[in-house]
Parts: sequence; C-alpha cells; structure tokens
Amino acid sequence: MKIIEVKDLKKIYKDGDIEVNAVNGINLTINQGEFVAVVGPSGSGKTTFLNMVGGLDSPTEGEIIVDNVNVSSLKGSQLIDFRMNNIGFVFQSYNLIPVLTAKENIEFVMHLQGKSKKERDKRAMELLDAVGLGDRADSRPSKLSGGQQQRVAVARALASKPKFILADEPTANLDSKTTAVLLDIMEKLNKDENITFVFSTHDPRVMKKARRIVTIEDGVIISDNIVKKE
Amino acid sequence: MKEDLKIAWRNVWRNKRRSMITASSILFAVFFAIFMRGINLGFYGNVTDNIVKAYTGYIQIHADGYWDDKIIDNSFEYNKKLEDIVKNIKGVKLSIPRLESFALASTNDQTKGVMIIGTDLAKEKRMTKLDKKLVKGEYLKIGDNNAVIISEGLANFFKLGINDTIVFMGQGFHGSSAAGKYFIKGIVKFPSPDLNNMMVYMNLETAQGLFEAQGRLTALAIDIDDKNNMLRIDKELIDKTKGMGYEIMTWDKMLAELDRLIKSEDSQSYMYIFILYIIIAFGVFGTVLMLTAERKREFGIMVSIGMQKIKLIRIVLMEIVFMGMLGVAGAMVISLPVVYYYHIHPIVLTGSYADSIRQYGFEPLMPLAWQLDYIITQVIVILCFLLLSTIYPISKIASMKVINALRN
Ligand SMILES: Nc1ncnc2c1ncn2[C@@H]1O[C@H](COP(=O)(O)OP(=O)(O)O)[C@@H](O)[C@H]1O
Ligand SMILES: [Mg+2]
Repeated sequence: MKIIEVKDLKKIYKDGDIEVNAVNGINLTINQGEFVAVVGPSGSGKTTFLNMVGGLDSPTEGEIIVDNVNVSSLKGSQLIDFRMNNIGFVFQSYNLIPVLTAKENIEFVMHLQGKSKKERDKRAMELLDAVGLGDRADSRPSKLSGGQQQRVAVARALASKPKFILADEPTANLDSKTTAVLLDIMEKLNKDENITFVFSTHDPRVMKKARRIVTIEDGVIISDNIVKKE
Repeated sequence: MKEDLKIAWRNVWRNKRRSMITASSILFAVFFAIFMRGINLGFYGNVTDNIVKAYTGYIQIHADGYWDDKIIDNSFEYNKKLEDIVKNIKGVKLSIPRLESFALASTNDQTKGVMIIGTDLAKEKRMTKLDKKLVKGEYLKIGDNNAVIISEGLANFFKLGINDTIVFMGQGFHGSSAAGKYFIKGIVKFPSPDLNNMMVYMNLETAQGLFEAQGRLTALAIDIDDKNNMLRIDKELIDKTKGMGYEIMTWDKMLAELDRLIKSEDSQSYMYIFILYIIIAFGVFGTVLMLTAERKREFGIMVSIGMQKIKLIRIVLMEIVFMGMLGVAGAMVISLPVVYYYHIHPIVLTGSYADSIRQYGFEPLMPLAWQLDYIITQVIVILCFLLLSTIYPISKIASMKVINALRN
C-alpha cells in the first residue's frame, strides 16, 4: 500500500537574481512499512525534499500525495492538523520542548490530539520503554544526552500514531555508538510494528541499515535501490 | 488549557533572572505609582476636608456676579423657593445662609478693616466647627443680637477681651450706611494668619440689621455628604436655578489659586508616573522581544508537530501575564501596608510648599489616600502595557513560517 506519492516535485529558491533549483523534478513512491534512506552530499536537496513531503515547505511545482490527500492543497491550520495526525517528525537536534520532561514531551502531541490522560500515560510509557528510556521519564531534555534526546524524539514522533516518520539527519549530531543504538531502535520499530521511516543521512554507516536507498544529487534522484538483506 | 498553563508557568521560571528582573521592575513601577497617587489623592482629600469644610463649603450660591464684586449690593433675597430647591437635592447635607461684608472696626483710637460674617451659627457649628476654635468666651446663641465672636488676631490688635465692646462701620444695602456697637462674647483662633486677623462672626439677623439688608444673603454655603457627588450636585443646582439670577460655584472655582497649586502638583506627579511607566514598558517589551526571538526554533518545532499557532500565542500570553502578575502581586504586598501606614501617620511637608499650604489655614500634612480605586487603576494601567507588549509576539507567531523557524 503506497502512503507517499511524489510527482514531478520542484523547489526553486530565488535569492535576488540567482535561482537555486534545490529540488529539480523528483518522482517517488513510498509504501507502508518501508525503511528508506534519502542520501546525498550536503546541499543536494535532502532537507528541502523532506520538508516538502512533511508539509513544512511548499513546492514550486509538483504534487505530494499522502494517503490520498494532496498535501500542497492544505493551508494554515488544516495543514498543521494534517501534520499532527499523519506525520511524525524527528529533526536533527533540539527536538524537544525544554520545559517538559521526556514523558511530557511524548504526551504533548497526544494532548493536542485530545487523547485521554489514561491513554497518554500508557502510550508514553510504552514508547519510552521501546526506546529504552523508561527510567528517564521525568528527566528534562537538558538532563539527557544527545542520543537520549533523539530517542525521546523518535518516541514522540510515534506518539500520535502517524502514517510515517520523517527524520532529517537524525544522527548528524551523534557519535557512532549512540547512532547505532538509535538506528537499532528505529529498525526494530519498523520490523516489529511495521512503522514507515523516511530518513536522510550522508553517513555511510547509517545508509547500511536502510532497506531502500534513494540517492539525490543536485535535486534529482540518481539512483533508487532496494537493498537485499541476508 | 491546564497543559498550556503548565508550559507557560514553567517557561516563566526557565530564565529565572530575566523573569525576576521584569517582575521586579513592574513591582517597582506599580508601587511607586500607587504611592504617588496616594499622596496626591490623600492631599487633595486633606485640603478639601480642611479648607472647604472650614471655610467655603463645597458649593456656594450667590447672586450673579457676586464673586467678582463682593459688595452687599450684590446680595440676594433668601426665599423659600431656593431653600426648597437646595433641600431637595440628594446628597446635600446642610446649607448655611451667610451675609458677608467688609467693614471698619474701631475702638477708642484704632481702626482696622475686618470681615463680618453674619451666619446661622447653629449650622455653622455643624460644618465649620467654629465652636471648636473658641479660645476664650462662649459661642453665640440665637438671640445674642448685640454680641459677636472675633478672631484672636483682632482681639490682640485692639487689646480687647471678653465683654469689651467694638464698633463697626461700613456700607449698607443700597447706599445706606451701616454702623453698630457690639460686645465680644467669644474669641476664636484660626491657623491661617489672614483669617485670624480679620474675622468677625455674628448672628445672620444681626448682620442683616447692621447692613440694612433684611432677608438678604451674600452666599448660601452648601455642605454635602460625599465629595464625589459634588459635580453632580453642582449641575443639578445650575439646572434647577436657571434664569433665577444666581451663580453656583464649586470650591475649586472659589479657591482657584489653591486649586491651581494642587493641580500643578497633580500634573507633575502624573508626569513622573508617565515617564516611569514608559521606562518599565520598554523593559517589559525588551523581555518579550528576547523571549520571542530566542525561542524561534522551539516555536517552529511546536507548530511542525501539530500545535496550532493560536494555542502557541495563548501560551506566550500566559507567560507575559504571569510575569506581570508576579510584579503586581509583589507590588500589592509592599504598597498596601506602606500606604496604610502613611494613611494613619501622614507625611509632614516642609519648605515653601508647606508655607503656602499653611496660608490656607491648616497643617501641611500628607496622609496617603486609603481607597481601592486608584490602586486598581495602576494595576489596570500595567496590564494594558503588558497587553500592548504582547502585540509583538502575537504578530511574530502569526506570521511565522515554520520552515524559516526550523532553519534557525
Ligand atoms: N531558504 C533557502 N534559500 C535559498 N537557498 C536555499 C534555501 N534552503 C536551501 N537552499 C539551497 O538549496 C540547496 C539544497 O539545500 P538542502 O535541501 O538544505 O540540502 P541538504 O539537506 O541535502 O544539505 C542548497 O544549495 C541550499 O543552499
Ligand atoms: Mg540537510
């Protein structure tokens, strides 16, 4: 079942007289349960592409269809609600709300969705356990390491039960050991719960974990490979 | 809502130092403004209580033109109709009929200008407490028609005592000449040297007889229950006596110079308060600016993951209100006891201002006003400034592009 469909996507930034074709005609379909890495050198257009897929930025041309909804047709508060209910975000760093504890950060989106306290409580604890931080429920982000913060961010992204998770360079600020831990958690969630992940990276060790690698250069896809795992 | 409150409250304590500085600047401003307004209002109240009650009354009715030319020919006939009009206005406590005129007083070899006030001495006692000012002798009774009370300065000037006699000469009504001889029944003392050197009191009928002005008054002085009603009563009097040839004056018009003195003090302190508030407003605005700017990315993330901007705005507003409330609450804790203390133990004025106050016949004391309205006004003013300062974050958040906020 396809959940993301990208058609002829383009993004042109105008910087005075100079035009930058950050995304220059991308077509891509992603199915439920995929574990996709979007890779490419810095400046190739990964962030621009993911932001448009996530409805954070609007395309200059083309369409993005998520679960039969044309994302670019949504505006303002509709779009915000769409993101809340359909997409989980993990950003590169400083993902969390500083004044909320790990558990409260996870509950935050469920609050916005109007979930009951009981449900919030249960799911937040489950997710904290899933990312291996059940014992840090009451810690504020400043008391957590970078890797732990990213794990909480993954748990938070999952809390709203989104259709898929978008993660733009989630490991860019982590060392190799914590990178491995985070990737293992994401992989496990993908395998066990069939959660769709789309993440970008330019780290070869992270690429190795992916089951599909989409390579972008100068705003276009130059290769799209399914990785056979033994 | 509860969740929003929690986030807002925690955000206030996130930058403790800045929040405390902001709250204390609000505290200082509110406290100072309350103190200054308390002084002004308290002083104003003190002035009206002292001078107005001891002398003019809150409102006076004269024959039209009397105040500009205070001669006995500008007197009016006191009739039942006027009496009824005044009596039937709500809030009027008392009206005192007076016939006042300058005259020459003389004893064997000395002469001096004096102010003769013929009045209803029973009513006079109730408003001006003239009987309390007696230092020698007795108060006049009805029927004491050849007796007077004179002020202490006069008595000293003429070296007169109780039961001595004094002669007055002057101009009576319609060009008649006025002359009479009276014995001194009482001596009163006024704090104001001006008054103390020239006042003579006698029964209204005695004065009317002296000046050949039977049934006439120069002024009907009115005392009221609540000074806040003065303007309303003034207006009612004007309306109801329209076309009858009277002039109605409130005390601030009669004592215009004193009123100017008070008002200039008033506008000066308004000026200080205004400047103070402007400084504080800039401080508050600076804080609001910082807390908006430094959290750009955080706001971006919150909106990315699904928080509606209106909710985000609400949280920031709550933060600002919390900070303001901390300041205001602190200001209350400090100002209420201080204001109350100085309400009970007035500040004693010194210097030239004090001297000019003394000229009007009372001690230059400044009790702080102990009333809620002006305190609440200061709080409302501060809250308005806070609300104004929220325009910035509101417009920032409303116009925020998530994508730019995230790239921060
Ligand atoms: N807001 C912007 N304005 C102008 N150019 C931009 C903007 N954002 C990105 N770009 C340009 O678009 C290209 C792609 O950037 P980006 O998507 O961030 O690449 P990546 O994430 O792969 O490093 C780059 O050349 C970058 O300089
Ligand atoms: Mg990038």
